[in-house]
Amino acid sequence: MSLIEQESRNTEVLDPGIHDHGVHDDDGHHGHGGMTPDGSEPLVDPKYSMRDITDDVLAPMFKFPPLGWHLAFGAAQLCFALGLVIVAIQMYRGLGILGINNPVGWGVYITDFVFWVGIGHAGTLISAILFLFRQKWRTGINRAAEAMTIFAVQCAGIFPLLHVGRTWKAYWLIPYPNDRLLWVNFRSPLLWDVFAVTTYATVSVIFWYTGLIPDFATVRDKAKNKIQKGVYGVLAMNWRGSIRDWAHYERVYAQFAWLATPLVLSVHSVVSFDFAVSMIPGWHTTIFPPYFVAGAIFSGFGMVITLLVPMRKFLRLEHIITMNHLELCNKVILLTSMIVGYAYLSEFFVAWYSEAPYEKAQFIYRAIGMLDSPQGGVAHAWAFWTMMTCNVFIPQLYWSKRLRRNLKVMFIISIFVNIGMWFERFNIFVLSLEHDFLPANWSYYQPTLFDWGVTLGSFGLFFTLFFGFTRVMPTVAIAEIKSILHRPNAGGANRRFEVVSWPTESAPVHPGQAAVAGTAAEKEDAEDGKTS
Amino acid sequence: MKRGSLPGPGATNHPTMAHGHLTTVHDPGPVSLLAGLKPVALAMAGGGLLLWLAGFAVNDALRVWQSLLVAYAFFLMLGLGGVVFTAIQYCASARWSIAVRRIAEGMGAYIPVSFVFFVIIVLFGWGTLYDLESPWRAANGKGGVHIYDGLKAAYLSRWGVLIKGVVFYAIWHVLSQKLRQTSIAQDRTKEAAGHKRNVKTSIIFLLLFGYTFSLHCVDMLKALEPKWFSTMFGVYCFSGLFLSTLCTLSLLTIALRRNRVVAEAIQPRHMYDLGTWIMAFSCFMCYIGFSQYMLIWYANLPEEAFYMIERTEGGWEYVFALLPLLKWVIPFAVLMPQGFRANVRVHVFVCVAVLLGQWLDLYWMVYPVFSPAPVLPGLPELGAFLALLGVFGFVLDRVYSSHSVLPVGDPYLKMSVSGSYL
Repeated sequence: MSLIEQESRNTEVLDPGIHDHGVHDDDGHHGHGGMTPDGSEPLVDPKYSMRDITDDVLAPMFKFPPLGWHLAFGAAQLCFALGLVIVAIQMYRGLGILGINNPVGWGVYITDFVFWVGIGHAGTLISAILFLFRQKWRTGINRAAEAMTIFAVQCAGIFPLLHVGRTWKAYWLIPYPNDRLLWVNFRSPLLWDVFAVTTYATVSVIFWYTGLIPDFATVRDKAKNKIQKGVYGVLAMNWRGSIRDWAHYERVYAQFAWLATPLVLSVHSVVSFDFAVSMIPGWHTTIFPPYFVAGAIFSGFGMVITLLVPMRKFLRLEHIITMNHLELCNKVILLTSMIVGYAYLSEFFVAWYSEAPYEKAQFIYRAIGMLDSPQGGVAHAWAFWTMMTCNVFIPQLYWSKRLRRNLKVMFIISIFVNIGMWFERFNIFVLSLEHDFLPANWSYYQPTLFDWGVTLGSFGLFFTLFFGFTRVMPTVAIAEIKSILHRPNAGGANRRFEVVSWPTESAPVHPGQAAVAGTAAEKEDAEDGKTS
Repeated sequence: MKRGSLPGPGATNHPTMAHGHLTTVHDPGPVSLLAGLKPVALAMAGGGLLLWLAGFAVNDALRVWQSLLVAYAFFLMLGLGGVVFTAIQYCASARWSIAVRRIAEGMGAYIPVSFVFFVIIVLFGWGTLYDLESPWRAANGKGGVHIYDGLKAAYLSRWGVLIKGVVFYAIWHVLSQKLRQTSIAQDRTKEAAGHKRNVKTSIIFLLLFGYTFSLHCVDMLKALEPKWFSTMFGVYCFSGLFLSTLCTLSLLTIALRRNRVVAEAIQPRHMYDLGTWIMAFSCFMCYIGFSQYMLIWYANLPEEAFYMIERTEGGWEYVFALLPLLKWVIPFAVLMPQGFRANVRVHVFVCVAVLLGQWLDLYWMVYPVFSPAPVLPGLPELGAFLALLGVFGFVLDRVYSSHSVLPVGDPYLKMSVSGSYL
């Protein structure tokens, strides 16, 4: 209900009740980092009013972007353009210009595909799963993370389409009735991937747009000119902020959260099936589905940090996307780093335990092995150790609270996480193919400049979209941030629970039973008072 | 530590804070879980033991040891699961669950008791269950299995398993005791620092638990088929552990809520949240089970597919089909309507179904090693299960009768009760 009050037209004024407890004392602000849900520290400083939040989030949309933004946007577009040129060359000359060979038929393209799908995981995790878990800190970062998700899935989609070779026939991937009664191979995980990724992309876009509707209405109401008013008016779908609007909105949002949650697990599980259903040593291992999902969340949060640390600085949103938000992201990175670490170790353990010679050989090859080639012994062990260093060793720095809350450190670590997760995929796909059952088959894989060019192009596309996003949409979910603004413990995202009335009437006093104090403050009160 | 005017839980006068009016939590003190049923539990333990022992005379030794192994794994997972649940709540700074935390904590007290059964199985049941030269293996066409890797043979040897088991149990026991003792001491001291200390202990516990539990499952369950391997196995066992723990926690909570004071603190809202967790982790269980089965079935490699083949043939396929039904379809479908998720009867139905599924899951892992067709669960199975159930109930009864069943010293208990975390 509070959200409705907050969003109706005349409530940009501070709620007078807030002054009673809105002042934070010296204890409230330091040293309680990740403990936000306990109410010891508000997620957003209560000194900011709702008007501040609206104005600060919308500010970048209403002014001409600064030179720095133009330079960055231009650089991203340049990379994208370069990628397009290389794609054109590939279309003309064929896949032969890439580094793939026999047996390494899946190289940098597939690595890029899985890398980008993985990046796309954090957004839906934050918007759906954290919503269901009532994690209110998601409100600060969900919008940008969901945008990142959608852009990353777009980047991911490029690679399989290019990799099929004749991209203009890519629609053959979709099963449709045809004269020749030809059907796709439903038993192939590659087809499951088509369904998984397109479903994920569709639901992510709809979920994102649903969350944007109230904020588009805010932009419409604040718009400075007719064009803006018109465009955002259409996007806001006639949102009035009425009780009916909010009731429908909250229902839809919660139901999308339930719908999107299995997708977070399914999309990367299906991606992992591409490899795990095969017989290639190092690909066929049963832990792949949850391991890929954990890795995807790890890389997704890495990219969230990479994007948000500069974004909050340049858009002046440090008071909305606070250090607490970032620290919690870093904790997720630490947790998922240990989960992927468990998966790496269990793979090595089972390679030894299984007594399966090919499995064992593959893991020795990854860690310390060599291949013979005309140029002498070559190895990709460096790729393996890059992965281990970036994904398992470096995130251990986050055990230190000081480092978790250091902007420079977290930015650098997040870059390492991105690199490490790219190499994780490279390590799985390429190294297994290079070194399969028959030594006569073994062949070293070397990407060409064209491989790297398209990779760079995908980064160009990603950043072009993201930089654009920061200028045309509210980068923070204004309505949701307001719902937690002056209520660190209450309200929040999953407010349906307030509507459901549980029997919570206060307990009758039982003689002889001491009342238990709840918070530290109340405990002090209680100790001062009558109870022992 | 002064919080002064900060909007503290329950202390606010903000008009939108709907739950602020519940301001006092009463200390229920120790509550007996079994109350008048204590003799029944003892009789169950004793009678179960006799039934189980009778198995040596009536059935064969293999059957008797298998039944104990299944019951051992079932209850060890509950004991450990209580600690895992507690530790996860600490690490996530969860507030909703504090009202039920003491109940979960208490389950950890079963771990040292479980150690006794572990030692019994390794010392006396080893030759029957794990010895590759045993006549039962030969009779079931598994006579020629050898472990060629000397290190692996030592790793899975009786002494190897025993030494590892001692280390693992020591870790679990020490850390779970530390969590419990700090929490219980808090009842008296009311110091908030205990909560922070427990967060640290929880982190260490979870870190070590992930590895030790996986390896223990390899030793006790996977080593029955020493040639079979699956990287998912540890995760599979964990998902069973967590799901069955949530169900047991729900049943224990329902039992303790017969006490009025407990029922005032642990509200339908908590049952609702437990129901949601059961639903979520039944999906997780199904996801992990499906992934493991599907990948092995699809690749169809002889060195690992044999495990699934012998468990989906000769009648075992019916047991196999029951697993997703009991562990996923029932909890997921039944708990789907929101109104059902706080309903005690629904909880009992779902939890019993899931726990039955968990027992069948372990039965399905252990028994097919030696029997191409399902052995109908009979007296040894009933005996072993009842015996351990009686012991488990008795241990928990002692735990819950020795201190308050609410963590009354926890600084955030009131948040959990009042619902101000929402």
